[in-house]
Amino acid sequence: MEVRIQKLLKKYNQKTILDILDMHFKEGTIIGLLGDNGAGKSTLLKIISGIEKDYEGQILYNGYPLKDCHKQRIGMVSQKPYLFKRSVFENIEYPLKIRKIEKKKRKEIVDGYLREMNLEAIKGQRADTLSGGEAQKVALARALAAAPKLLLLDETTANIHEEAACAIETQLKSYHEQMGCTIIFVTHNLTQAERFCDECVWIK
Amino acid sequence: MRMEGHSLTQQPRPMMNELTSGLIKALKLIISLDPELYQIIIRSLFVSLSAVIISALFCFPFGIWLGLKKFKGKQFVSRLLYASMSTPSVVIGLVILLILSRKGPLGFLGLLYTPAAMVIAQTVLVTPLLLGLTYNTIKQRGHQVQNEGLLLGADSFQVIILIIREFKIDFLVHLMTGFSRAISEVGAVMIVGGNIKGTTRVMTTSIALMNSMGEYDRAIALGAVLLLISLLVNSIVYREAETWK
Repeated sequence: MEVRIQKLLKKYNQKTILDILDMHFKEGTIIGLLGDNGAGKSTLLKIISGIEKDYEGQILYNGYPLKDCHKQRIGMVSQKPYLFKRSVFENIEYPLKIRKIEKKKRKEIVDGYLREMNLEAIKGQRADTLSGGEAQKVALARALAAAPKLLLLDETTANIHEEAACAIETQLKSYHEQMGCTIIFVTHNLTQAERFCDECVWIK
Repeated sequence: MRMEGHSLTQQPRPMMNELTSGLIKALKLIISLDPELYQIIIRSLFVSLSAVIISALFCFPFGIWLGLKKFKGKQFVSRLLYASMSTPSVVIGLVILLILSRKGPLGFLGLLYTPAAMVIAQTVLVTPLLLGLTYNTIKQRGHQVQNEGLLLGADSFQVIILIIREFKIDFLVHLMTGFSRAISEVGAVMIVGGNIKGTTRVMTTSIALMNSMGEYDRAIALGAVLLLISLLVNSIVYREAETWK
């Protein structure tokens, strides 16, 4: 999914958080979003995702303002994701369930992600009892299960050690190649941005 | 004077006797399946449970909506809500009495001094409490669940279902709080029910009546039964909540 931001102005308590004249995220690319703390990176992701609506300007998705059909194709994983108080399996299954995908197909998809993300051993465990790294993996698997065409990742690998972060990057690369989706990836890690992203955008 | 004082200290403590005989009587009443007692217990449970269920049907969806919605004057609404949580039950009873009395706006329904009037009074009593508790829970933690649901593609209805599922234990505790407030309340049901034997007499109004008649042992017996019911219902609910965790 292609995203174009035009004349975006976001204020909070009279203070300007974001002021973007024109920004373009091409379809099928992995874009690294870098910037200092408080630069507005997470706010920008929330605006693009559609959960933050209080702003001036325009965001176009494939040339159109946000519609319900776009919302179904946007996925986001925040730095501290909220996992539902149910099993790991049920968490990953949730987006498929609300899309009314039949049970057999749901199980197939969820089992696939559990295998790919190395989560099979904990599939029956309550998701709110997982460690930070495991929780990130489950949140990512849940977001990917919805087959998004635009994936927004807010420092998803920040709390995970290097090795696990690389494994997640590999998963994301493979998903990106399969689906041809656009990934916007917020990170503080320049090395990771160089390694993982096609383009980088610095927000001041 | 000294002798009187001495003889007084030698006498057994009457209140302890009342308590002991009351507890023994409570046991006897329960075991003997006293029909009047069981009628009162069933009526009390029916009135309080009906009031809590009716109130919850309105309070849970509305409380969720109120907690998630951003609007002007939300702070004022929340203050009003919290203040109304402590409305005295006699005031509610009085207002309902005036509304349901023959000359009142709903007097034609002929509900005054019936169990229905008691259900209405307790529903009004419990509603601010359930609404305030639900609103507070959702205001504190609801947005995160809402955002996650929306990001995963849920529509508004699916988000509400998701929130109810995520906070089901909190809601169950709110229900229990509401039930405890309703079953232990005496002022409103006394005013709108009239404490009529066989029709509107419930446990709390019976205790008040026995106390005014000086029948302390029977009053204590009913009090013990009331406590037992509260303990039993709470234990069942909390055990269920544990299995949900």
